[in-house]
Amino acid sequence: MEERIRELLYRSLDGELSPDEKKDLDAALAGSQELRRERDDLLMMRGLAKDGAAPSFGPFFAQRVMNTIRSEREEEAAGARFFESLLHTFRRVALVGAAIAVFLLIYNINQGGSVSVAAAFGTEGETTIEEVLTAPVEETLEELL
Amino acid sequence: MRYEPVVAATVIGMLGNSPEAEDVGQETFIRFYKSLKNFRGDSSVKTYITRIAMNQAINEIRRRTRRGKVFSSAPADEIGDVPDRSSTGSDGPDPEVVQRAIQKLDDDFRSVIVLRLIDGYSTAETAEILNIPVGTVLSRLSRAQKRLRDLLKPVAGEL
Repeated sequence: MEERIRELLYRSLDGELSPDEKKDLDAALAGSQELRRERDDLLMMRGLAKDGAAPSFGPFFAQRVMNTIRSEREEEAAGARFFESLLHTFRRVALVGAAIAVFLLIYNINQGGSVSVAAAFGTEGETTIEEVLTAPVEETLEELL
Repeated sequence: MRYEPVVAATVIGMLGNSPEAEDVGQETFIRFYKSLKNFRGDSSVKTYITRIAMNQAINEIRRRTRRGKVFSSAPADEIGDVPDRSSTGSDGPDPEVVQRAIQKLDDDFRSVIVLRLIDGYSTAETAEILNIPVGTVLSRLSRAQKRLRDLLKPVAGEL
């Protein structure tokens, strides 16, 4: 059978043929029992494909879907509540922490008697590690003892 | 559920009547529910949910392939030992045999067969759901039907 005619047969079932193509296919169908049988087979196969389609997933499918959606929504709501409470708690802790930090800064500045970064952090007058390492051993021991 | 039949036909058509099919069906409805706020109405709800179902089914097929799961122990050209309808007095093979043959098709062929022949979408809608040109749908349909006919020949003399 001519391959072009067979292509026309398959295309005729799903798409439109031009008037010339339709004429060629009709002529071929009229003259070929094999082609007519192939067309009938195709039509039957297409019908059977539709007949065998599964109509549903089984009983209580809708209920299972609704339960899954409901439990996911509950989980999401619980997650949102947790973050909200976490944020609320964190905000309080942050405010208290900031107040303590400001108090310590002011306290250190007052104790140091000068307005500087070192005074604010209470490190003014402290011996640095470099000073310890570069000082003579006796002096360092004396200071440490 | 209004859209269960179309989702079931799509998912079971793609995956066969397997335990995973119902999970994919559930996932389809959950995703549909979650994406409702993004649905712009460019396509019908039926087309939209079918696209989700098809994408989920294709993802499941990829997962199966990655896991190396064998779909069926039957060789690629065999569709099992099911009697044809002629033995029961009706014409042609049993619809179940046709469904088994569809499962033997490559994914690209199976998706057009499921959407066009089982779900009953037009070639334009099939193209829209699969995001491919109409010409590609037509050529895949033609090749898929030839392949199906070859697969069904051994179980039904008429095909």
